[in-house]
Amino acid sequence: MSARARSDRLNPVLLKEIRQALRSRTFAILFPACLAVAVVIAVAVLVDSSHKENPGPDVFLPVFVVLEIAALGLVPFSAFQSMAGEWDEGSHDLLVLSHLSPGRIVLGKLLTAAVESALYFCAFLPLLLFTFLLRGVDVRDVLFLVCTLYVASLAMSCVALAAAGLSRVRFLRVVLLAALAGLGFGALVVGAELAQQFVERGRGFGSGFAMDELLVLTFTLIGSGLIAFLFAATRIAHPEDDRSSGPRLAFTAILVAALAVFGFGLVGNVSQRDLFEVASVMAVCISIPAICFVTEAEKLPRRVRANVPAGAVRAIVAAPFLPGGGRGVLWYLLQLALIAIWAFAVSASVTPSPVDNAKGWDAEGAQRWFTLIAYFMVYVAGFSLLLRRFTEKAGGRLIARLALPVLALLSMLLPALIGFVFGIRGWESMRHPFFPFWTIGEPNVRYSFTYVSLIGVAVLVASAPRLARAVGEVLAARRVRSARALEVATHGG
Amino acid sequence: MLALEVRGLTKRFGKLVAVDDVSFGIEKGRITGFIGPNGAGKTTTMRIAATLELPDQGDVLLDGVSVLDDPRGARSKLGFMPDSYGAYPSTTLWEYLDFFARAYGLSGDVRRRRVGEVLEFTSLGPLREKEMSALSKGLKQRLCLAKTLLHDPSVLILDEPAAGLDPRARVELRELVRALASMGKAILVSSHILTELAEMCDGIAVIEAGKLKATGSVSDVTRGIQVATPVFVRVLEGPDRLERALHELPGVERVRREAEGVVFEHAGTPEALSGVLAALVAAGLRPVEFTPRAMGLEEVFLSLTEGKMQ
Repeated sequence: MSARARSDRLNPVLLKEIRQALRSRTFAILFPACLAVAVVIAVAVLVDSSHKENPGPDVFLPVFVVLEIAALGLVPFSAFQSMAGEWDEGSHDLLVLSHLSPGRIVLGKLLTAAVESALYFCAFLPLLLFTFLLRGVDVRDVLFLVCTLYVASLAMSCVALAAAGLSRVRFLRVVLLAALAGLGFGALVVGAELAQQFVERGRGFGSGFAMDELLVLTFTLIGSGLIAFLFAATRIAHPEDDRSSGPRLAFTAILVAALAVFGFGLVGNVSQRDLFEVASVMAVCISIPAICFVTEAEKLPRRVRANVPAGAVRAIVAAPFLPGGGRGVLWYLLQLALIAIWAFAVSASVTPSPVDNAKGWDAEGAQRWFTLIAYFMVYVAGFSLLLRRFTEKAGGRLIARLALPVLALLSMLLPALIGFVFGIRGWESMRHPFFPFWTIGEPNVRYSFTYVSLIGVAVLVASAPRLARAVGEVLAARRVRSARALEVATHGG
Repeated sequence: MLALEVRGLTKRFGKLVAVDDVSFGIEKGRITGFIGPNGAGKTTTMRIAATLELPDQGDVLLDGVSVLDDPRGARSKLGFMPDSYGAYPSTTLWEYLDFFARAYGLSGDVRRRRVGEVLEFTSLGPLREKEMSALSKGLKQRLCLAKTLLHDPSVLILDEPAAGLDPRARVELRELVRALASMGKAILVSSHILTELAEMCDGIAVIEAGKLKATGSVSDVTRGIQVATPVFVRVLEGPDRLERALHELPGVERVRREAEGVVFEHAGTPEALSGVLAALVAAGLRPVEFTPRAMGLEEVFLSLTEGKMQ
């Protein structure tokens, strides 16, 4: 394949941005400047540490920090500016009108960040590997840290792209940029600490390397990057386009991957209580995007309606992944069910432990699980039902999204306040059925379990018409689509 | 079939009705001027037609394709030139067009040929290696038009294309738009420069406060609103005698002096108007000029609109 034919396959945004970058002064100044600073620091430290037997770590760390500044600061900033420029220059509309999907536009920007970052890494890698020759640094540690930093740079660029798409108001974007700088600084400090642990404190591949920590770190970076990427693509999509299915599918995929990874690590090696804690954390994590999904406008957007799956079974299966608040509740129930099934499967492998005597599912364990799901039902599905009428407009949706966690918090605090004011015994000390940490922590308190379960079931019953409408709308759209297809086939359009 | 068909379009922003049940259509090869004061709803209507905004009611069909049901299909038929267009810094004209050609899915020799064609059509060929930042406003507008033509759309929507251009650039743009119409493209163009539109457009759509006031060819719209024809008369005897004579004739209204002659308005038939001329001659006056005046686009616009602001 010729170079010209290969260039046709490239993402147009990537090509355009690379062409721009090659002519821009910013990159032409910053790139050699970073490299020069790193070399000067390396030489200075090397001269200062010449008396040491193993000066490798002393040289490695400052050079790595300079690379961090480029990878976690300059590259994401460049991505942020590039995306913000589309709004400021008025080219966003022109891009949207072309055949480029929002995903391809964001991917083009991300690939540009990847190329820019790769240039920094290529320039710095010889310098970092040189520290191996100075002794005291394991080459595997260098490669691991460099690879991790590269992934972190991409994740940070995704976050920058998402942040730039968050607002078209310049002032707000300055605030977002400041927040991004804070995040970048935090990531830089964490990265420097990790590097120090690896090369100075002997926690690298040579000794004490923790595989599970690496797994969590990689998963966090890739997961957060993917979420930010989807968010950025969603922000530049048209409001009537499907802005919800991609994130819903992605979060489900991330959850399934997390369940698989943790399941693999936990099988036969965990107590019931630990398993419950891991599952609770996952349920909390999945509740965060669920807050956005359950507070979407109820109706299917017109452009989505025209593209629902044609088959009835496929339409029903797709329903939880299509936009709409009711379908958001369905999606949430599906995620909770996945977590519960996973927990059941993992707990079946749990062997009796002399510490907590756990041995698979029992009445107490089941009660605890049921209570947990009931709480999440109330906090997410129940409160979203109350706030449903606000969700038709963008401003109302924002209020509803902010109100959901506030309502959850109030439901925990208000009974205690009422108990304190009216002198209800026990309640003033947060020992009431609406405080999950007490209820779940004390599963022997039967009446709490009964209260919470009843409320959970009530929420489910109250949500039933909403859920039925959510599925019914998809099926109705499918019927309209089928009828139109038949009409086109019969009359030729 | 109409190339562009706006059907009962309504768009509200809160309590403000920006576009209120607007309907009109454009045939292939025709240029329609979209006229209205600031805030009348022109840009909103155009952005809905360009799939960038959603209407609360109604639809727009581009070559029969609904912008609501099939926005992707509609976009392939549409070339939209917004009032503020994106200029990428550190990009040459050729790179800019090459990028958008790729974005429209053109590849290989087809893309290179198409970029060359639009550069030639807009007479930007010699500047292909020049950076966008070095271009004048007129050249940037031409470049934006070139970009709009890359995927050979059948409908063009041009929002204020002549804004800020010098007279030469305006004339050049007008010629380009006329050439595009002669290629069979339906063109909707908005502008505040009504004389510009009058020379360019086959039809007009006048909008005010979101409501469509009139639509059709300029002569149709003029006929619809013109109740009296202004007539300029000059006689050798001077304007004083002429003015006195006109005041005594039936069907003559609003007599006023203008330059060396007199203007009056006449609402009757052409026969009755020729009777006025005959009566002036019979009164001993010797006319050297007797010119019924057609209403210009500015008069039409002022007659139709009330200067309402939203």
